[in-house]
Amino acid sequence: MKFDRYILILVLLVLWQVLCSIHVIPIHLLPSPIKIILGLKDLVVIGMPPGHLLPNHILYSLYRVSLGFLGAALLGIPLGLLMGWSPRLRRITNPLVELVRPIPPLAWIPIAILWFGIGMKSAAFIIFLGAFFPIVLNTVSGVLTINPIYFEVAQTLNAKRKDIFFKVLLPGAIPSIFVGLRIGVGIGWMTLVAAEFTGVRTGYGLGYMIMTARDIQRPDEILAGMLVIGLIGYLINGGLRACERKFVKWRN
Amino acid sequence: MGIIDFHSVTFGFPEQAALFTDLSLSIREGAFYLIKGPSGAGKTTFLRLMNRLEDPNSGEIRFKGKPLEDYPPPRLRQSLLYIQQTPAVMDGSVQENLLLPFSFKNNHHLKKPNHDELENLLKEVHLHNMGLNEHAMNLSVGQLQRVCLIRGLLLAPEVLLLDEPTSALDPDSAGAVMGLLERLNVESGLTLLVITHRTYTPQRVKPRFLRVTHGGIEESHDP
Repeated sequence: MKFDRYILILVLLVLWQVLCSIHVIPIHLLPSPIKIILGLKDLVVIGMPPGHLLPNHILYSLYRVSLGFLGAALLGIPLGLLMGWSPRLRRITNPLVELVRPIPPLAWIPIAILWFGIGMKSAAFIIFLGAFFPIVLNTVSGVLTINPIYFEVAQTLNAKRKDIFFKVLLPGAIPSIFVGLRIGVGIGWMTLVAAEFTGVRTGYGLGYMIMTARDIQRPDEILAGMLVIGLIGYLINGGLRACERKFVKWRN
Repeated sequence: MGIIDFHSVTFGFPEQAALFTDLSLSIREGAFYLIKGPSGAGKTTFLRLMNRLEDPNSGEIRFKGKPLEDYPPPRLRQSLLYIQQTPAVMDGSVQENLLLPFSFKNNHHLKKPNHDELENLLKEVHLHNMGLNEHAMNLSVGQLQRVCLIRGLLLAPEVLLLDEPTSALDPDSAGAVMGLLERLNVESGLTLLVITHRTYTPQRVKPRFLRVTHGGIEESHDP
């Protein structure tokens, strides 16, 4: 059945609503699903803070994530390909990557603010850091898992190094590149809210919206904001999966 | 002097006994060689040495009288084309795979075959039912072996080095592949060196036999 995957969510929602209605769950701590939907409506119609409507918060957040994520992809994919291609470059860069990678993106917030100030740049930088390493490492692993026979066959069929790079190595690494992109955008999106906690000058952003809702004690709108973040993350992942299916034909 | 000459070639992989010691032999232009020998004796390495996928530890291999090192590797590899036993195809249609080498800059000077030429070659190796638009990843190993053979032939080599080209084929298809090789040998004078474990009786050519033993290679007229 096509909709069976949503059954668990539906059952949990109904259970949640019932437990709230009979006051088993205190609604000032966890509002009911219906209350959250009403909170979502308020976010769209009234805004949080008032006048700052949800679609604008979404657009600003998407813009920040796009900037950080695109930067991470534009730098991470070529670097990952080159690291996979050249054992020497891999040897040289690996210690640095492994040293910087375990530092949580959020630990960079103070230094990001110092470097870029509060605003778009520091948020994009934090998202960039969250997305960059999964993209690089998955790309490297994608190159390393290509069967060496492909390189040899291309070589025996007269391919130049440039041809081998673009026609064997790059297509061969694409499935892993997509895995890296999906993980990267997921982490980037997760980091966003924290990055926006650092403050945003524009007064827009889902993280900022949630923090404002917290300041005025609106748990329904906090949860509605969280729901929106989850939904957008789900849609982005779905979009990347669709691109992956288009590029990686043999997986169909 | 042959089209390829081995002069006192010694080769062994690091920390292993030498596969060939002081090997000297000539490969005649336009001949059809069948290469036999036990597993691990060095049959594949023998072909790879001619394609410069391996280089001798000592001695020299010459192609048309000139050391292999004097040729730019792409030029050499187009003339002495080596086709591996394991077929490797890219994610794409049969046609995309057959034409893949023509997308490489080094092959831009070669004439790209048209649709009919590709179909005729596929027919000749008993791949009549396979469309050029069929996805290569859906093919059997036997079908892929034939696609890879044709892909190599399209580069018009002077010498074809084949590693077990019929290992995954049924007897009929194997016969068709060997028939195609015989035709190219007879009609175009293509020099062929073919590793095969199969027993087959050529119809149009009188093959020469190279028996690879541990340490060397002996030429004979009998299998």
